[in-house]
Amino acid sequence: MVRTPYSKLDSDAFTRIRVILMTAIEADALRFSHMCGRMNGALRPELAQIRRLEQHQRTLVNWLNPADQTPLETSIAYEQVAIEVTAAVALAEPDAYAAATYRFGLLEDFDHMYRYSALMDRVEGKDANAIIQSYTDIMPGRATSVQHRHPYDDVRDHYDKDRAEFITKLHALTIVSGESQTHEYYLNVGPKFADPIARQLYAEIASVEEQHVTQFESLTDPRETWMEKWMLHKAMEVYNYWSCVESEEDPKIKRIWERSLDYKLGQLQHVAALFERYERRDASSILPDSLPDPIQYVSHREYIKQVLRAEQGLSAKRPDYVDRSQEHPRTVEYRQQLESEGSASDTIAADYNWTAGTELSAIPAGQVELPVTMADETIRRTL
Amino acid sequence: MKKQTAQGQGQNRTGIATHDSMAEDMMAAVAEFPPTSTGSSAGAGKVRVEYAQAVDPDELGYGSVPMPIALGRDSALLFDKLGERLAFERTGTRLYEAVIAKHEAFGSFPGGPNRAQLLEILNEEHRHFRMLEEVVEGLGGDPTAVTPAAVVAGTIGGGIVEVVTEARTTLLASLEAVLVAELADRAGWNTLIELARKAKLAKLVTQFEVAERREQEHVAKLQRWIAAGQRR
Repeated sequence: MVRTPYSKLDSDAFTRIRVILMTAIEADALRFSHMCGRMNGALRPELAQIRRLEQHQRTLVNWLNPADQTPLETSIAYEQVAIEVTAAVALAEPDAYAAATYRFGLLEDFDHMYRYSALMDRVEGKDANAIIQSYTDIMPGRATSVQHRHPYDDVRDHYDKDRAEFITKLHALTIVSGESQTHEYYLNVGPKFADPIARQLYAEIASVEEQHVTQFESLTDPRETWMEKWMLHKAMEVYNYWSCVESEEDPKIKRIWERSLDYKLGQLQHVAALFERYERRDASSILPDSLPDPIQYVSHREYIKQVLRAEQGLSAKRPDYVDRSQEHPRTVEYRQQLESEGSASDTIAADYNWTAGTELSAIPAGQVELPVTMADETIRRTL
Repeated sequence: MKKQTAQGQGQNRTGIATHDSMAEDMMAAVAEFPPTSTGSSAGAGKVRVEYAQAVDPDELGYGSVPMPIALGRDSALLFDKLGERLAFERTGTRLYEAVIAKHEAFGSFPGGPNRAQLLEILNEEHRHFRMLEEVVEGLGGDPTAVTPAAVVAGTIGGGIVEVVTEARTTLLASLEAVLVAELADRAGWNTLIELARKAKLAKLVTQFEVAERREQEHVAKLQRWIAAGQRR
């Protein structure tokens, strides 16, 4: 389970993206399984057995991340996952409302990546593009400081389990897995930073990630039974490992995806048999004969810009996406309260334009200037 | 054992003497329950040796050195180290920015630095960074690329950034952290001078010698400020 990791410098960013997403999916498998076990005594031995495999698969994949990849670099990579995978999902999603939800979330994670990149540049003097490898633009999305909404306004309508297409279910489970991992990660590593602006930024973005988990989780149909959800999760795991096999160019990592896919096919078969035994209905009433097209692990630069131009000014009012001017007063009030002392995401990226080689590269040699009194610095939001 | 009180306020609880009676319990416990495996700490070393030897020779290090093909493999070390210095000086610029914030927050101390002196060093780090960008570009390389040696230096230096940006550390502690960086920096410039000399890049040797002298001055200043802060 503990192998030589990929190289932060030499491996393709999409290999890292796949490693991160598949770790998230295994984490969600474990999360689901434990919740299911709490509610279903009879399933406990079966859940425990499969969970042990998930535990070891998660370890195998997550341990591919190298130790020299810092928590901040990893955070930037997490956001790139959220951007590129969510963009691929938004484009492939047949349900218009679900697709709108993915676009909505995408613009917010896009902005997080920009804020973390500014943090990396301004605190560590490092260029985030060494991680992003030019596949994703580093620029503002929907500003993080306007992403804070009242909890009610993050709850979306769910798909209809009897009418939704199979891929719609797989997409929702995939994206909520990624968001859950990101949310947990920020809560874990945020306090590991010494710099108060970094601690603030992680706290702020982690709060939005909790909103995202709420949002994407609510796309799934709560009327699905535990067994149905378990089987769908297994199908989603199969689909994602298969997508990795289809796109991976690193032969060593590809072998891991192939092996993992084999395990998952076995798990799906086992859970499908349990489903049929407990629910007395055919697994084929839920699962199709073949898998949908794989997730496209490619750069979505133009698509993202197009979405940004059209939907940057959106907010949400309960299930609906509305112009920010139409927000519910509870959200306006919530945001005012949360940001009564300003927003770290505005502060760290004040006037920040990504520049190849960091913004220090754009300053003539030896002409860095700092205000005489930094405490007097005023941050103004331009929205 | 005597209880020790940390300098400043409060009661440090990390030492065994903090709770005398429990210390005895701790020792009694390990006497009653011996280790469950034999051997020594070299067991961890064995695992390190095995894992290190299992790494594919082509994949040793954090990655490859990005460099112009025309220069050939002999220049790999030079490029690796140029990338290291470049990243170091760039991070160093940000490091002094954080030291200046510390200076503003707490003020200086008798014999300590003033803001202008810190800003001057900051800009010298920046000049060095920009100079190295030009050097790498001049040799046909990409100054935005991260080299394996830059990762090594960045990993080592990570703790320095943590000390300086931490709200609870003093200006003096920050200067001590930066001194570690400056000592490493000076050694790094000496390496670059020798590598440039070996590669017969005379102009670079001169440029690097000037930079190394500046770094010598930084070390001397920091040592002086720290001594004054410690009233030595």
